[in-house]
Amino acid sequence: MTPPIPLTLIGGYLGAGKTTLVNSLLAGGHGLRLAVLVNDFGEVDIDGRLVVAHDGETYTLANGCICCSFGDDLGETLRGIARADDPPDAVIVEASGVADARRLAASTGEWFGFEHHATLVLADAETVRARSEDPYVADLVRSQLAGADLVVLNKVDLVAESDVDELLAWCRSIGVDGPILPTTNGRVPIEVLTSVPAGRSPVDRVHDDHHVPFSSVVVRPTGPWRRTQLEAALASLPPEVVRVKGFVDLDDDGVGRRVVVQLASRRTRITDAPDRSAAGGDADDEPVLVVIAVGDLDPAALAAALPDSTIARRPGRPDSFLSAEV
Amino acid sequence: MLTVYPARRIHTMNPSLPEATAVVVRDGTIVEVGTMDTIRPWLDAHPHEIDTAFADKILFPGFIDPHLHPSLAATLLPMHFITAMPWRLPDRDVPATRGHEAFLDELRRLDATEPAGEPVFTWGYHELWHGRMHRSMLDAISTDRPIIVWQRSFHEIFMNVAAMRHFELDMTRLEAHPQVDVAAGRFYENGMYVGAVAMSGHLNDHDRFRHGLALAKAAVHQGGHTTIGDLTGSQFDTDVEWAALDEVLGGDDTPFRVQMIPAGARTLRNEDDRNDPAGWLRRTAERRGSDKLYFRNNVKLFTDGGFYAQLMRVRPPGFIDGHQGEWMIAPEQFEELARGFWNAGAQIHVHCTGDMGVELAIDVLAKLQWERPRFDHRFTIEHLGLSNPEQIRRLRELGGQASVNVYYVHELGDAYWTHSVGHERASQMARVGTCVREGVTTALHSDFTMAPARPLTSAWVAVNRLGEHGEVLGPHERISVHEAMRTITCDAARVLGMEDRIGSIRAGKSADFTVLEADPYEIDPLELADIPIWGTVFEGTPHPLA
Repeated sequence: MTPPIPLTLIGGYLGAGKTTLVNSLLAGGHGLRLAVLVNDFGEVDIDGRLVVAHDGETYTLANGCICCSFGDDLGETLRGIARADDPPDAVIVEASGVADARRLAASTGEWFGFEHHATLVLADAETVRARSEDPYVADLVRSQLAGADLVVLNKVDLVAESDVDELLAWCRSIGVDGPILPTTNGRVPIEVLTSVPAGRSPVDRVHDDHHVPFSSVVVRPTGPWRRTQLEAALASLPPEVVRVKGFVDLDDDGVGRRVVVQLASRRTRITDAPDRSAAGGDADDEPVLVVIAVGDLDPAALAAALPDSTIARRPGRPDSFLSAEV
Repeated sequence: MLTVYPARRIHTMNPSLPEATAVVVRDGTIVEVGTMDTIRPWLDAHPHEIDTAFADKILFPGFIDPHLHPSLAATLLPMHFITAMPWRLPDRDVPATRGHEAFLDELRRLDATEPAGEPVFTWGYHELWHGRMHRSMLDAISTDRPIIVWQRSFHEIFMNVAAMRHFELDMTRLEAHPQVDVAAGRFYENGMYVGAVAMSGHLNDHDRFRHGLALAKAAVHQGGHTTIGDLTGSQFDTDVEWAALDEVLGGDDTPFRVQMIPAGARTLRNEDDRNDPAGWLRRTAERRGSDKLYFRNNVKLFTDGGFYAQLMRVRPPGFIDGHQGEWMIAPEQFEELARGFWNAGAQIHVHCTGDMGVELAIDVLAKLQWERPRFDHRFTIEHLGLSNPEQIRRLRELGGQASVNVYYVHELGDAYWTHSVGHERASQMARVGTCVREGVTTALHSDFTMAPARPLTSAWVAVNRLGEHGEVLGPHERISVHEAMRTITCDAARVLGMEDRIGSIRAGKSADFTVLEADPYEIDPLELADIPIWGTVFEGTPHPLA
């Protein structure tokens, strides 16, 4: 059976920057073959020079990405993608500006052939507070944000730094309990946006993006863990953690096994590694977990949650931290 | 050759000559209305025949439902109806089924009588009437035959194990879905789409869809319509669907015309259309239109979500349970679309179900009137689930119209009183009385299958406003029989912008009549919905129902 394709929902009210993000994904630079699904091509900027095929509601681009307009029938579009001979690495769905992302995720998340990666909800730092008071959309804007796995606070370059702090606090006050990523131009690292499939590395990028404040920590277990220990550890991570990925060895009652660990925006998945290479490494690889967080994650803060391991800041800028920006 | 139809009474709905006893028709058009005496000069001058078929009958202008969905009906009508309300359908009379055991008995009966192995699709289940549904109950009826129970509002499906197997639903994966309860066989909200998609091949089958459309056609005739408006949501967008519509409804044997009203949000899909709404409307009409399925200058827009699904946007104090309705489109986008079509001179119909949806539509209409005033623009609020009297007054002052699904009162009035918004607002849903008092041009519609495709049933609700348990809901929103008959004839014609050709019986208009066996003005208004319909005359040709 082919592994499920990770699916990411991009939500947020009109003008929050969803299309900007989509446009940058389509422009490539991340090295992944993405299927980007949009309601309509309206403001999507497809570079004509990149188009290698155009068939009805689908554009195929030279960088391996496709862009489909799903109109009224997201389900049918997803079915088509799942059945394709050469399915994409990941699917990104741009939700309508009035969709309740949490409701939509309930539908797309378990669509056959897919697994929900995360729901990202963008907010326009300049206007989100005003929208949240608008009699027509106040409740919608608030519930969109509260339903996000990751809130992307966009366009922070257009507001004062003190306003950003105030916005972060305001987000907490309306029920946002997951990580909040302040950014500009809709930039979100690809590693956060989707799960990079095993065996595929995104291309390296030399661009050093100071606007995306992420840090990453490498956890190396010093011996096999018990399953309960792993689960407890993942459940007690600080809220700014957006991704955990890697593989560890478990030893419960003398039965050893290697498992793949995936944590994407508050959802945890622990699966048996079918073989070691599929788990993202060779048989000889030492178990390792990479933890990615918004802001500067202090390794010491993880020590309590992750005993029996060595924890270290990942040196330099990780090559998988790619900006979606061109 | 002239044809003369003497009748017991003709309600012309022309206030200048409200009643007559004879009408003269030539080539599908009315040439004279009056008495056998007053029409004499026409008969002296031209060869004629006198058709006395209606001598003891009552004639009205052909009924008009300005908002009815043949394609939706086509999907649903091939299913077995097990409903709390009685439905008269072209191929069957569906009695009311109320109570849990009665519902299961119906399923057992179907299992016993339907061809072996055929999936049984039912529509109409509602927990308030039929009790809790559970897969175990369906499995107890059959483990071999797929049984599908589709909830009345389309937001929930129950299936037995055989159905999940038949439609290749992977139960292990479904376990993980937050809105699928595999043990109960229940697919709800977004989970419902998982179930619906699995069945879509069956439901959209070529022959099944045509059969369904043929049933829809018969249902429209049976209701006494001679004109309907198809205000599409997503329909007739594809060549496949248009071909089916044209094949089944486009022929000479169809005793009604269909005014096709496309969804304006389609223009958002491409920049050229968005920048040129008038051109888009023209091109759509040129690509698709025919005599029977015709386009005019109308466009449909949406504000808020479905009324049966409780997804209407409600202003404070909101719903009793605190849930929120949904916008179908961002308010700013709605405004932008409306502005484009307003400035293109189009007639705009806006689906609005909650008072916040209505408020948005009226606010935007006010802005557009300020920016670029138009007379006789016919901006129409469609459905009008919840509203307040002040909104209706504003609508009047801004020149708007209303096309109302008044059946909401009968089917949902009680339920929304107890479970949704409370008595005050629920009893005033579908505020037809205020509309008529304020002088807003008002039509009734069925939004079929949201309500039966029976204008006399809609009129009966508007006149009596009886809830499902028989009590009057919102007595001050009732209207008179005459006002109700206007809402399904002349005023419905105005809502479609077709009043020059249809909607009353006067010289020069199309010879479209609905022929009744009793006079609505003479009977007990409580029996309005039960008046037998003989049939119709469409463009001069009689089409009896029997």
